[in-house]
Amino acid sequence: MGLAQREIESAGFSTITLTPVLELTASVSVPRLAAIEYPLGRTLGQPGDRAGKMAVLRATLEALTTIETPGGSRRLPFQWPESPKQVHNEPPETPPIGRYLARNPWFLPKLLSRNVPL
Amino acid sequence: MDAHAKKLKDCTVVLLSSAGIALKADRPFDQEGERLNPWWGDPSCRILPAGATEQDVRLYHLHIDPSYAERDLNCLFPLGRLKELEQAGEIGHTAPRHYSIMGYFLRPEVLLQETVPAIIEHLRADKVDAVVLAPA
Repeated sequence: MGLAQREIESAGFSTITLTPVLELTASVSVPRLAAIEYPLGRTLGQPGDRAGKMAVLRATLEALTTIETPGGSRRLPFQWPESPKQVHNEPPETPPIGRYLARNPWFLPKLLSRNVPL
Repeated sequence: MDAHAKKLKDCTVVLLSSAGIALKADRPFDQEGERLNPWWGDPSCRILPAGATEQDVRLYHLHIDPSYAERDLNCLFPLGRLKELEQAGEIGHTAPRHYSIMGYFLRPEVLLQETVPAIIEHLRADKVDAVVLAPA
């Protein structure tokens, strides 16, 4: 997403990424970041919590128009109501790359360096 | 003109997700291809109309739990909330077309050389000012 954001920004659009994983996205140095400590799959909030999700969207748009420095980021002031242990966030099946690495753990460095063995 | 020269209330805003969202009537993201080759992810894009809801879509992303957004799409793709901001006059317009890719790919070449340029063409045609990218 960071790479896509940079392309879109350089094509003349104002962009911001709302990210639950600040360090990962920041590592590809994107134009603007709004960071939120919410679980994957629910970056805006819980099902049914209309007001909560509206607040996150508003704060993201506010960050879009007020972050002046290229590469600037802002931590949004929201706290997830559950502790990390309470969050149920597992995908229904283990991702294919996870199953593959369980069988072939020596390929993990290739994954981390994005050195795709094809 | 970009959102820094324009007020938000005059801007057309678009959403771009990486959650692998597709209309039920549209082609699914290729999950079988990823199961067969775990080093590959579908680099294509799906267009979602501004009025799409959880009734209209499915999520095809093997690295997240899709059940929350399939109950309430606004959990990660706030089309409904964006429409409300338009109705309240806080943004100018919600774009007529919004976008989803599927964010698992280890090689970004196809995404950057084909998918993103096609999205940019659509954004220009729709006179979009501001893009909110929402990873899964």
